[in-house]
Amino acid sequence: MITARYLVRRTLNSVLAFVVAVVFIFIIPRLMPGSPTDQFASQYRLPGPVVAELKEMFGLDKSIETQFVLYIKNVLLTFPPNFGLSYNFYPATVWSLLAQALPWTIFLLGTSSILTAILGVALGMMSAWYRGSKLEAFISSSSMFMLSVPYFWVAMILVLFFGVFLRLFPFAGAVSPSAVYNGFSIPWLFDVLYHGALPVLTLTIGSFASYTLIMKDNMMATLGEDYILTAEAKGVKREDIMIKHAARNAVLPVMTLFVLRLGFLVGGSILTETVFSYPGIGLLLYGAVTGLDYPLIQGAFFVLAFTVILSTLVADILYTVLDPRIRY
Amino acid sequence: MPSETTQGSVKRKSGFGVTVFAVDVWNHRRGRIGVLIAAFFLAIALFAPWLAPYNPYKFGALPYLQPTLEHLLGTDGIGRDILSQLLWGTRISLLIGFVVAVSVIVIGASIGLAAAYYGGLMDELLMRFTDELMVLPSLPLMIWMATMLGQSMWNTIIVLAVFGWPSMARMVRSETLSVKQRPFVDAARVSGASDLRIMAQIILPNVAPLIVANGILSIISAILGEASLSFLGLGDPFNMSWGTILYFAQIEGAFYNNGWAWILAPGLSIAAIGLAITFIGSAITDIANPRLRST
Repeated sequence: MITARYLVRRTLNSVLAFVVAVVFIFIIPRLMPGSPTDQFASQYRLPGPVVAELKEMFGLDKSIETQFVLYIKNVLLTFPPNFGLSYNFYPATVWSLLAQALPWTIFLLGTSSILTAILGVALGMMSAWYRGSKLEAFISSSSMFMLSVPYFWVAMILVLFFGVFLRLFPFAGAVSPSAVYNGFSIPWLFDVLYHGALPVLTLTIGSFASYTLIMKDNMMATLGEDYILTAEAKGVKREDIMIKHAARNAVLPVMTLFVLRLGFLVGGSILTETVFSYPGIGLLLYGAVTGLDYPLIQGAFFVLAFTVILSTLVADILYTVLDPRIRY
Repeated sequence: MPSETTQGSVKRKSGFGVTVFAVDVWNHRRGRIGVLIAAFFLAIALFAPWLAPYNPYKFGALPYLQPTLEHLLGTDGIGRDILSQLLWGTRISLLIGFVVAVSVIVIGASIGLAAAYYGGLMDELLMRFTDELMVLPSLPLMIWMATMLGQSMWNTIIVLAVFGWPSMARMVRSETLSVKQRPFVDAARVSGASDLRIMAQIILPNVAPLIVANGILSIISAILGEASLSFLGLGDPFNMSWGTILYFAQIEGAFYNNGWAWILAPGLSIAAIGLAITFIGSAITDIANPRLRST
């Protein structure tokens, strides 16, 4: 049962986590050795007065307290959050870059999460149902093998096989570079799916294994319950026992796994987007970090932290709504 | 090692000794396969200088050679022998995995123990911090820190240790909370043992099997994390790991030069050592605590 008290407490926890994340984003670059302006200055051999002027322009000459107040005002109390201008994509604002990239990452993460859940649950269900068989041994050991396969390596193998060897799928970008579309249309959608196929497949292959193994364990436990025996005794069809009686009761804990794996999935999407030059937040963040584009790094972290914390909250609440046995 | 094990574990005549434990892992079907694979890679890591046919950093052949008898896995984009890189890379990848796992155990176990033992505000603060680190996506943070610190093997180790410990701390905390309730802890306290002594000598041995099983599994996350950072070009180019080899395969265009062996070999090595560690970890969990069936 979900109570208002639980809802309020859980939401407050998320808000707190988010505020702490925002403070982290402020502190981390200031803890790192070397200031962004110094690196900028040495890169372009800027003279002293220019550096001083740059510091003034970015507010870095002010005291740390003033900088913090300014940061909170720009980031938390303004909408859209104002992270200033990107160094590397000057004069684009950080927010405009993030707004372009975020939908692609959400598309990758959303599609692959759904596929992963379906594939993982189905394989886990099958291997528990046919326990002791060759099928179970095959699913279990291949899942254990896939547990430690890195995302980027899956991506490389897919590029090599489907992209270069078979020439079936494109492996760079999110849409054809030469095509011109007027907003949403059916050919555009096909192009997006065509370019998204390998990245989505990468994330799915890279993450289904832990779902399969957890689902298998849950399903094994459920199959030992008395009501399964009852269902068998009263002559319920085998497929109905498997899906309606056992799997439905075993599937819920898998949702907690989604919450636990979300951080890894974001990491996986950075690696995947890098291999496929996919224009999402991951690629943007990677470019920003290696190019020391501080405003963009902060903005990308902000968006990622917000997305992860919000999805965790929604998944947690959904979990309690779906499983009436859980009470807080 | 104390003669008693954690709750619900197997009864054993000869006690919970290290040798008995090793024999149990060996008798566990998956455990034995895991030990054999791990021993194979360990041997490669130890004897890499004698096994590697060439200097992995020296360009002595034509670039992009296909696998031949002279170069069993071919050569990379500047004519370096890939097999030699793979053999030397085993040493780097395993070393980083091992050192990071040890650091994760030390940091995670200390924080988990302290939080659970002292409770109250200490627990609240430490666990808030732990949860915060767990909920933030760690790879971008690691990329950031690695870029700032610069490319070296020890910096990679620091970065992976700094972001690797939270789940260990959580797990040690929850186990310590239950161990703390048991009568022998009170007995020790009454007999005047200091906090540090109770934690290190009374509680720690009872949490140890869980720490070992999960510590072994954290080698996998360390090797995978190292591979990811190196693949993004943040690894030490003079201490090539399996991830660094894949980084060069990506930027030197192995795709367009039929670099099947170049891409397959390091990835399969990562997956194989990961599988071995998963097997050993699940064997240890099965033996130490049959109640917690591993997945």
